[in-house]
Amino acid sequence: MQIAIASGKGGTGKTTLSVNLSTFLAEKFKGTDQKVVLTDLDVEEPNSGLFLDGNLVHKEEQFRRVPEWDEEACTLCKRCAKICEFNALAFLGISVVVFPELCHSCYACSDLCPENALPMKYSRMGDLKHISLSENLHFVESRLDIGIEQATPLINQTKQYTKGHFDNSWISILDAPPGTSCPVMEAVKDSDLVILVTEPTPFGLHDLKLAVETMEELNKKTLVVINKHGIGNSDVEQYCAEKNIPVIGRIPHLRKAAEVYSKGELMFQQIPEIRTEMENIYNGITSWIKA
Amino acid sequence: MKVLFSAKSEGWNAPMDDRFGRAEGFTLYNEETDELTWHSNQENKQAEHGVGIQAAQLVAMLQANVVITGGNFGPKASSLIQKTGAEMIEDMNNMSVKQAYESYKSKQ
Repeated sequence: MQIAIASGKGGTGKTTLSVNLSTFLAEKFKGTDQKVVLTDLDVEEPNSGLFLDGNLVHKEEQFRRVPEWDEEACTLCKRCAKICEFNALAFLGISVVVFPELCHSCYACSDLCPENALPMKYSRMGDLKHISLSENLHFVESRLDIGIEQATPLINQTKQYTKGHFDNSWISILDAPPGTSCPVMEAVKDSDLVILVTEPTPFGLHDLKLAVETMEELNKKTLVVINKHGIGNSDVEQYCAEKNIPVIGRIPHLRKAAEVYSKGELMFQQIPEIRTEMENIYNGITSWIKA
Repeated sequence: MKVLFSAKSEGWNAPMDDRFGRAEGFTLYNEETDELTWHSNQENKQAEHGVGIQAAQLVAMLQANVVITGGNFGPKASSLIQKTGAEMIEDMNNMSVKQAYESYKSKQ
């Protein structure tokens, strides 16, 4: 079971929900054979780890491969620059220049070069960390290096790590990046379920609509959790009702919640109303599984 | 010498385009033959990324010695044009291609 937690708008509470729900479920499942792994795929600014303390199990560097021009082997046929879909190669008549920041590591130029003049070389993207919090709660996160423009390859490899290390007996929760572009699609595309977090404001609704449209395009079943419930208006609820999207949780807007959050602690452990909402969200997910 | 301009349309009287990679097109003036040729950029300017790279490849292909734009060259375009050895002139905006050419010549 793989559940992605996403949102159109940033700052709506993806991480809040991810860390609280994962820890809540792990506590709930204690003594059973059910286990939870949380993966922070917001690799440009991973922050789930701020709320989770544990033991480092494994750390590894993450690389992707980009072509490197071999001047000696090149016959200046221009084929590479013509094939590149992403304009990542410039043919200047007497030389070829690679722009790694535009390269999508598709290998087309390298594979189709008749002279083998564009071998693929390793290029560092960032670091991955695997942390154990308890017997039935693990955490994986990747952090993109400063200056690296593309998050998608690192998101993909981080998901592969989680898939490779945790079998089906683990419930896999993915903390997705914000927005509706490639990084989000990469993060959610193979999930069984997507939970969209929103806030009940015009901004929240506007970006929720974009996120819902994106998930429809990807044929993803979506459920909604409203964060900061109590502010704004009821337009989000109305929109979800019209769209037939179940709202499975309403995390109340409380001063105490902000205080707990600011200390990097878990809200459901200190605020009973939020614990109740985690229970509601769990029930919402299980009734979706049954249906 | 060959001079390339980023322009809104064809001909000497066309206004300069203040974009380079996403310009409407490029006018090439060959001083030796007194020829003026137009190279539309309609296809390339639609691309999401790397339009400056495409335009810089045109500079190389046409073997321009001077490139004049109404605005600024992007970082990728300018790093490539530098490699071709062409001279880069920026900020020739609010004028026609002819005026940009004359302005460039008067400063030489």
